Amino acid sequence: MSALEAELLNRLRAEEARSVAFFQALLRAPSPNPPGDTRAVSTLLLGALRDAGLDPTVIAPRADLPNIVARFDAAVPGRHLVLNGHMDVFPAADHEWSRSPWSGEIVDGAVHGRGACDMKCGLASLTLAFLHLHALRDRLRGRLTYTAVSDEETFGPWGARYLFRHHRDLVLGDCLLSGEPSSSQCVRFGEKSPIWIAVTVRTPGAHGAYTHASASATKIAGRIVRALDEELRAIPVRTPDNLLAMFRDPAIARQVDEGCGAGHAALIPEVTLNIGRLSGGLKMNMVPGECRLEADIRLPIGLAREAVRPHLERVLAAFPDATWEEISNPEDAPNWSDPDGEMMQILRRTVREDGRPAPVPVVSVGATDTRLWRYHGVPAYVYGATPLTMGAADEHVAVEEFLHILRVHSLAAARYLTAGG
Amino acid sequence: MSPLADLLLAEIDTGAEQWLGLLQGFVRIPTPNPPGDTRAGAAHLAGFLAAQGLEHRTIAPLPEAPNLVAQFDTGRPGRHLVLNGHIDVFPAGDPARWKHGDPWSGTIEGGRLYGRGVADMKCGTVASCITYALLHRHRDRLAGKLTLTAVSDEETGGRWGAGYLFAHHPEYVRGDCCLNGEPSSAHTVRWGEKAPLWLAFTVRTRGAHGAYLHMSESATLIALDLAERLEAVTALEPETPPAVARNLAAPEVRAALDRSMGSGAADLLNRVTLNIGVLEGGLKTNMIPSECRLEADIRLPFGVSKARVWAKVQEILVDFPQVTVAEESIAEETGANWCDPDGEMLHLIQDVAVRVRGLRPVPIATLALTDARWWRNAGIPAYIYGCAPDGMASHDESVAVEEFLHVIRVHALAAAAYLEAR
Repeated sequence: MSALEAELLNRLRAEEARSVAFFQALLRAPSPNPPGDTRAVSTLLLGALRDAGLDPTVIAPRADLPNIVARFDAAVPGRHLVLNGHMDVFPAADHEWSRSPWSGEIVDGAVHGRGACDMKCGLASLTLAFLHLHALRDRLRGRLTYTAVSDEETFGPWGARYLFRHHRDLVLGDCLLSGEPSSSQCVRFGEKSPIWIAVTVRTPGAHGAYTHASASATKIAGRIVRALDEELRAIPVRTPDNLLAMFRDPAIARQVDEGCGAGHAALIPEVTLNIGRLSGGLKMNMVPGECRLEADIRLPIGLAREAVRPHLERVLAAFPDATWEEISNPEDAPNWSDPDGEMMQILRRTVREDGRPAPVPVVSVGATDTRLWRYHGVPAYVYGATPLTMGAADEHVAVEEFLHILRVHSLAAARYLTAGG
Repeated sequence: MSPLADLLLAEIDTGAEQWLGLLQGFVRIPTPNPPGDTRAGAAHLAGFLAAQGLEHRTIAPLPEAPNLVAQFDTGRPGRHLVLNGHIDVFPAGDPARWKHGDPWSGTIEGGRLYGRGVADMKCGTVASCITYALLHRHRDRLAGKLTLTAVSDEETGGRWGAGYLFAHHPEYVRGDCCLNGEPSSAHTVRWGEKAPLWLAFTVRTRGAHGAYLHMSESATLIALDLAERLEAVTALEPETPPAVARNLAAPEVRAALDRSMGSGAADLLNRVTLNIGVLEGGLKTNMIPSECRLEADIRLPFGVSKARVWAKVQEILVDFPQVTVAEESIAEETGANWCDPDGEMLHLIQDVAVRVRGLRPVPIATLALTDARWWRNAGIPAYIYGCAPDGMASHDESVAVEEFLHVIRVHALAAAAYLEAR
């Protein structure tokens, strides 16, 4: 370990309490998306950056969805590393939680709150890592850019996609490090791609006792879901050979399941279907005249969305009462970086040196903004919190895990920006 | 027909303007339920009874929803007939959709009287009051007892109206027969009703990110499975009582049902039906839903008890540990309600209708509920004969003036025939 790395570790150890408090503060600033107002979080991040003497740029094509970009150049020219996180989180149904989803409370050694895993742990960590490296910038080479965006959860046009469209040179870089959830057992180098469709069924509707008078929109919606499920299961996937070997490696699968839950590894090469929303009918005693459902379909690497669309068309053509549209971005596709790239190797080594087993390279079942960097040929890797409570009530991350991630992010970035020197 | 019938018909014709004024004044008093404040409506009817010199009393367990009762005893032993109607009506909806710009206008135009509740059921309730007043005049020709009940919460279930009278004042309601003027159209007379079993199911799962199918079951998928499994209740075979089965099979009955409720209604009347009225789950496209609510509207035909359907539902729920269920219909109601489709009062109504208008109403059962069920569930025959349900629960509800007078004639003559001293 270099002197720089040792000093970085010392700084991190000295400020652990403040770091945890910063993570808690982010959780106490609600930013559920929808509706997606992230101003409370951005205020905290901007405060931290400005306190360190940085001059962050706020890019806010919509006032309630600000994006933050900050950067510094090190003493000598070199490579450009980009850090990326998002400020918005999933919505929360308060009544399902043991405490307020926005409490940020520490219970049994874990920090609780909506977004703890996805991804305020990673966001806090990347922010603090950026500040520490800024303090040590005289001993680095190249450039470090920090990006915190606002509408990752809806893959909307106002966050990372906006930056890529209008400020690409600012954010592209040579490598991307993301703090999205991965578990400490895994480094994610690629991801499946979502196709989201919204289906609306319309029928005449009737009094609830007059079931002969109208077809039921809710019952038709149920039949559509079953037909979609059957059709999607039967679509063949052509996984590239090198990835197939990795997916089938039982040792890797064991570690993936340990980090991300039993059964996780098996989902990676499969098409999956989730009915995220289902809403039909106005009143118990009326035959529903309308039902809307939103299907969240995930395509593995080796299955192009163009190959899936005809299947969707065929299923839905059998339901003349239904109309549908894609509500995801039609340009998205499964994507991956080199599973053995430099940042992957740095992360594996850094994690091992921090006293944990070397993480395995994995394709994410979920999608993140890292895809945009991969589309542009920039290698992108994800290392972050254990996702076991992501999207569920009582989402939480262990304090110890957060501090581990902060050390890994800081050291990995420092190593990337000192390599070859 | 007896001389009394002729007398009554003459009095109804002579008083036609007075009766129409009574109905029009009643329609102009808003009594929508919810919210259910019917005090002014009840006072209007009480004023009519008082003007006729008739004793009456108010029973108001809810002060804003009084029930009006009146009773006379002829002093001769005989049967006890109860007339029943309700004062409350459906909410009026948007006044702008009504052609007179006001649901409470009581406008008479083209031979029709317009207003919220005129069909359901101010026409019938006023017919009951007039019947009571006319029969009181001629009580020396009658035997037994006549009771008038005008109640205030039929639209919201009857707990504080007919149900309250059954629980606390049985002397006013536990007669030998009940005659009710709910809308039926002049072409049918009604002897029974399917019963609703309303069940609200809640599916709860852990929830997760939408790509993490290994982390949680989906509440929406479980709800859809449950909806499909619940279809099994529609296969329950009714053990139809013979008298009911004869009625349901009669071609004229089947034709009348399909005509009044749409093609296919005759078949449904004898089946358990399942409607999934509400299905609501999930916060966001890419989250596995942790909660889904499913509201099932099951309708029970004659010969399928609620207990039997509940047992089927419980049997299905064994496979759904993630699901809780609550009944939202009235738990005490055990099934469809009915009385003899070939009963005495039904024949009296048919005979009078033939005499005064030359049409013979067909005895049918219906899909929706009325207060008549309180009587039928107590083992007391209850029959419904009233105006056509034109615009009921919609805008521009109305009744033809001539039909209103027809309903008065049939009620008064059938009630008189039922009580006439022999």
